Amino acid sequence: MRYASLCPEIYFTKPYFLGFDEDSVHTSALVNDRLLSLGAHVLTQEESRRFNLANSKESIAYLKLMALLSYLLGYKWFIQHQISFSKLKKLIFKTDLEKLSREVEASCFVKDNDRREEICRMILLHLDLYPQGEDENLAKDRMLTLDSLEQARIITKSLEAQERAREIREALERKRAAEAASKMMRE
Amino acid sequence: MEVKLNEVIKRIPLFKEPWKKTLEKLGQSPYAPAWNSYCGDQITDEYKAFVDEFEKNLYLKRFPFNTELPDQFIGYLLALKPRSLWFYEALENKNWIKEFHTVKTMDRGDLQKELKKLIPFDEKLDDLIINPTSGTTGQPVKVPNHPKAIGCYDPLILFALHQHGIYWRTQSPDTAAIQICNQQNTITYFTAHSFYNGSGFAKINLNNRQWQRESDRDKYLAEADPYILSGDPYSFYSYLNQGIHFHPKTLLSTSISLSKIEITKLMEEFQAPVINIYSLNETGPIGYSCPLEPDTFHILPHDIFVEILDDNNRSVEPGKIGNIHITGGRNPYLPLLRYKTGDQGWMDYSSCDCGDKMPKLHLYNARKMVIFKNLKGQWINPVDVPRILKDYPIIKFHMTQDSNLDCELSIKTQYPLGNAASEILYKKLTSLFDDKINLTILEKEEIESNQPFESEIDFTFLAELAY
Repeated sequence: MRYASLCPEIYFTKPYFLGFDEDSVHTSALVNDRLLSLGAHVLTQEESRRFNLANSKESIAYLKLMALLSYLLGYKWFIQHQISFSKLKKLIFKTDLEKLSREVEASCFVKDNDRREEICRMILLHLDLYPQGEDENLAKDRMLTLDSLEQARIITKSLEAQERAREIREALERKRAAEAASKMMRE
Repeated sequence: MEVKLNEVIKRIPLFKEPWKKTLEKLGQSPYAPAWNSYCGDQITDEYKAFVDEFEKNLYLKRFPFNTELPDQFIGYLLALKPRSLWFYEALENKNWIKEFHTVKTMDRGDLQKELKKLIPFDEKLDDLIINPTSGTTGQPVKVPNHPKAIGCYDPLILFALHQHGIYWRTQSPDTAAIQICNQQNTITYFTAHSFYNGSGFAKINLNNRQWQRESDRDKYLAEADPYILSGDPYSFYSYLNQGIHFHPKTLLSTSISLSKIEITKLMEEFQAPVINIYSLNETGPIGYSCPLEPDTFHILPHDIFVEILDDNNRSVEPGKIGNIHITGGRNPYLPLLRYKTGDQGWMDYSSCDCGDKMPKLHLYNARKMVIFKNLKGQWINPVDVPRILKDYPIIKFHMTQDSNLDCELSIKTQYPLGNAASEILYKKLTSLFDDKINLTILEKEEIESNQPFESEIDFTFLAELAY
């Protein structure tokens, strides 16, 4: 997969696409259309409810992200190649997406280089595809570095570092007096 | 201290009743030394499964490598990246997989200051243990460890024996090993190891004060009949010098590098094969002496990647001397990323006739034996020095003895010691030398030397043995 060509696709995404409110775009319809164009089954009524603001607790930010995702999945490569329906569904119902939409505004996935790369890579990794010239390790590592949720988690962990430092210090002090595990040689 | 068997048994979670006899033999013999500690392997069923899996891979996953990061380590590093802040930051460069040489290195200073970044966020600290470091690099560090990582020492020792054609795997409890040392003070204990089906292990101090009668040492060892005798060359020297006659089946030498001649001499004296292990508290065992070229070390565990780097952390050409750095390992509290051991050496990536695919490490100028002397002419083991220093806020130290037997201790401390503390430290150290020695203690802002001890008095192992 040429991720290099998927990235510009998103760059030229029309701004109207992200400027909608709940009355102007029906996300469930977009998702359904995309599933159909990819040869997959349409959403059940229950599943559709998730993408309908009136019946859903999800935020409009989430719906925007889903609309963007549906748009990107319309990239011709995905249509030409048979992609796994189960993986596609897993991606669409990925629970982290709601969190992601709270962390990053959908328009950032268009305007910002790193975020654009992030969403493209996220799609590819979920479909078990790697950008051309990369292998699984490289793709996973790049995703790990770009992953907004991962970054947020690391920042939280860094802020908690003082607390962790105290825990470690206490554990070291506590264990200092305690005996070690037996080993048959010295170093 | 009166040792209670139940206290020992409590520390061996997989203990079985038949192992009790071994513990009684080792711990309650009329010839046994004074014990001062309790210790067990702390291996549970879960940890045993981990150690068993490690052992399987130790034999199956041996591979030749060179200066490039082998693929099997990429998964290890990728798994740590989201779990440890140190790894997350160090592996930020998007090309680190292809350009591993650009990844920042870590050293003992980082272990002192950045442990909070290094220990994975999600790693519970309940099982943390500390194996005391004797401070052989002069920079004392509290090295956090885990019973399952320590448990892996057993299969690593077995593997080294196996490579030397020694196939020992007991089905019935006997004595696996006795570790000897000769220090003024150290912990001594006896226990049993589940991995060796309950075989016994004891750590003993040859120092006179630990024994009721001088002859007890020989009688105790003959009665215990350990398969392996482990220790450092100084303790082996002390052993021979004290006229102990017992010969083990195998001698496991650690801590100090040995020349071919020294190994041959030890083999002659003990009438047993000698296996030398290069190992650090922070990394665990790194290498075992090649059976064909005993002054070189094959990389021992399959889960470490060894690099030789220059002072600017650039890879040196194969065969060139540089600093030894380690990536990988199995200690969940101390994952290593290009960890600088403080030792120097060079790698030999060519295939070896002994059959092991892992490359060979030659130590250079590393861990030479340094022994001090008191005014009576008795040898003093420097290992006793960090034991005294560990009670002080010392970041780094360097101790020298000149040809007049005068000593100088340089210390870099977290905060000034103050007169009272300095005086106590002075007294403790001079008492190690029977009080008569001239000792100067200097508090310094920086200590350049990476060797903890230096002495102008030659302790030539061979000469001493010949004597």
